Amino acid sequence: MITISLTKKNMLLGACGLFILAVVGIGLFFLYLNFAFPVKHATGTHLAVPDQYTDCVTCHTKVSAQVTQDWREAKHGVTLVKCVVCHGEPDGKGSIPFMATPDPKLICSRCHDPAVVRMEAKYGNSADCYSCHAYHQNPVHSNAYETRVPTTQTTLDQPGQGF
Amino acid sequence: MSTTPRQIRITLLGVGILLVAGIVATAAFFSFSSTTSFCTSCHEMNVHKEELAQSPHAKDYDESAIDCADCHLPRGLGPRYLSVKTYLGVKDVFVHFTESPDSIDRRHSQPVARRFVDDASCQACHDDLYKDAKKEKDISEIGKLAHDNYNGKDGKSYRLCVDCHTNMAHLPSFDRRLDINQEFAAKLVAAEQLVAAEEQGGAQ
Ligand code: HEC
Ligand code: HEC
Ligand code: HEC
Ligand code: HEC
Ligand code: HEC
Ligand code: HEC
Ligand code: HEC
Ligand code: HEC
Repeated sequence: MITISLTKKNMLLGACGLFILAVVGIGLFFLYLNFAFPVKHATGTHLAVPDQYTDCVTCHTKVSAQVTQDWREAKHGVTLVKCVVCHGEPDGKGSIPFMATPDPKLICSRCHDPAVVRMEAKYGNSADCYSCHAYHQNPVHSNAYETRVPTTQTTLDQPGQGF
Repeated sequence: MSTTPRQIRITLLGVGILLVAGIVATAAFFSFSSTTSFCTSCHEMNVHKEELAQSPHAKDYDESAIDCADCHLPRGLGPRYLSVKTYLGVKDVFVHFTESPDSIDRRHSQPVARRFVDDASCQACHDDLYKDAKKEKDISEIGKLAHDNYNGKDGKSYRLCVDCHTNMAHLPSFDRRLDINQEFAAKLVAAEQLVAAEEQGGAQ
């Protein structure tokens, strides 16, 4: 035989219990949401590129249309700095390893050493060029510069603030 | 005051009835609020409907109109469906009443939308990945390579259908310049000009 007395204390306890239950429920909900619809997917492996597609662009116009068009319209595309120059061969057999995000020290400085040295002197050392330059889009006249405000900043403590 | 087992049983029965009624009401509300006409009851969603009408996804194979929910809500009534429905539903309504429609940046909406478009929703219509969209001919060579990659037969893609197939139903102005969207863009511009001409004609 159970009897529950509805005292003030019990009601308060019940309310607290319900509140905790609700918080836990909402937490579990978002946990599930992030599990079922991940923001970033697991890393993949590039497909083997058959000989007839060595120029990369034909296929990438379909699978990453935005990136490829940005490249084509920007300085690197116009001057035909090809995909493999920055990214390497997907099968890893080229002179540089295959990288989704090219290493600036390894790649960019091959051609832009003077600019890198000058920029490091001007703005300090920076591990990545990508917070300021968009590489497929017109590198200097990209979106990043549309909102450019004048600055007196001389270090890179807060990338994106000044440029 | 103390409760007897009889009172507890009556309370439980009441709670049970309420619960069932709640579930039925929720189900009815969910199915009603998944119709295209409900989506477009918010003016923010109208432009998406107009774009959809000019896209390759305006009509299904049987010539019936394709609904927003066909792509934007997971199939079935499982936890995937319920969680997307709840999350996006609450967020949409909240933003609708708190922010001006002009502040919605479609560049930021795209990745959010892509995250919640299930591959199973696409595959409900495109069941054979090695046939073209009309289900007549074999898919192109590039398509075969990419879909092999997707299926894990040649490397492994980390992408979903919508990460490769962008702008399947909508075409914001900043995506119109892309080569692969030229056909869609031309249709959309023609339709917009028609509407503009009609509006001018009406004003005169
Ligand atoms: C100037 C060097 C350079 C060239 C040339 C270049 N890329 Fe990139 N690419 C980059 C950099 C840098 C990143 C990483 C950007 C980041 O992480 O923010 C990148 C990222 C990418 C990504 C991943 C982007 C994403 O949003 O996930 C793809 C896909 C890609 N490049 C494809 C290509 C293709 C295809 C070509 C040729 C048409 C090409 N790239 C040419 C520098 C280059
Ligand atoms: C194969 C040599 C080569 C490599 C490697 C290369 N670039 Fe370039 N880059 C060029 C050329 C050529 C231009 C066009 C220069 C011009 O038109 O003045 C250019 C232009 C640029 C510009 C625009 C400069 C301007 O004046 O508008 C930026 C920014 C830039 N590159 C950044 C990078 C970054 C970052 C990397 C590494 C991911 C990189 N580049 C890798 C050759 C290269
Ligand atoms: C703090 C933001 C910032 C970072 C980080 C940055 N840059 Fe720049 N870069 C600029 C700005 C601003 C300009 C144009 C004005 C100037 O030349 O000072 C520029 C210009 C350039 C140019 C063209 C100018 C020239 O003299 O040829 C190249 C090439 C370039 N950057 C490459 C790089 C590379 C490679 C890196 C990574 C090591 C990098 N940048 C990192 C802001 C940045
Ligand atoms: C209450 C008005 C309203 C209704 C009804 C509505 N939406 Fe929205 N929707 C919005 C608003 C406002 C946004 C912008 C949300 C934001 O910027 O975070 C939005 C954004 C979206 C997005 C972009 C992704 C995101 O959440 O940012 C998708 C996809 C979408 N709605 C689909 C739908 C579908 C499908 C329906 C019908 C089942 C629907 N909407 C019904 C107001 C509504
Ligand atoms: C064929 C599938 C499909 C249908 C049908 C569809 N959408 Fe979409 N929608 C997408 C995909 C995929 C995206 C992701 C962005 C992209 O690639 O265009 C998207 C993006 C969106 C966005 C956010 C990005 C933007 O362009 O603003 C909204 C809002 C949206 N859809 C609303 C709707 C509404 C409302 C309907 C019904 C009238 C609808 N969609 C019908 C597939 C679809
Ligand atoms: C309700 C059924 C339906 C759904 C859901 C659907 N599609 Fe389609 N899809 C079609 C039809 C019908 C066509 C047009 C076939 C034709 O051209 O006659 C089409 C065409 C296409 C095409 C060819 C487009 C072109 O430019 O000709 C692609 C690619 C495609 N769908 C991918 C997708 C993706 C990715 C999704 C998931 C976001 C999706 N579909 C969801 C029915 C659907
Ligand atoms: C890795 C990138 C990628 C992924 C992921 C992907 N596709 Fe494709 N798909 C392609 C390419 C590339 C083509 C060939 C396009 C062409 O020939 O113009 C293609 C072609 C198609 C076509 C035929 C289009 C036509 O023009 O007839 C359909 C339908 C299609 N895909 C549906 C899907 C569906 C559904 C999914 C998800 C299950 C999916 N794809 C996933 C890259 C991809
Ligand atoms: C037959 C089609 C095809 C060809 C040809 C092709 N790629 Fe790709 N590439 C893809 C697909 C599909 C993806 C999507 C990534 C994935 O799902 O693994 C991709 C992704 C990439 C990425 C981004 C990887 C990441 O982790 O974000 C880079 C960089 C890249 N490719 C470079 C290249 C280069 C360089 C070449 C030329 C040697 C090339 N691709 C040729 C289909 C192709």
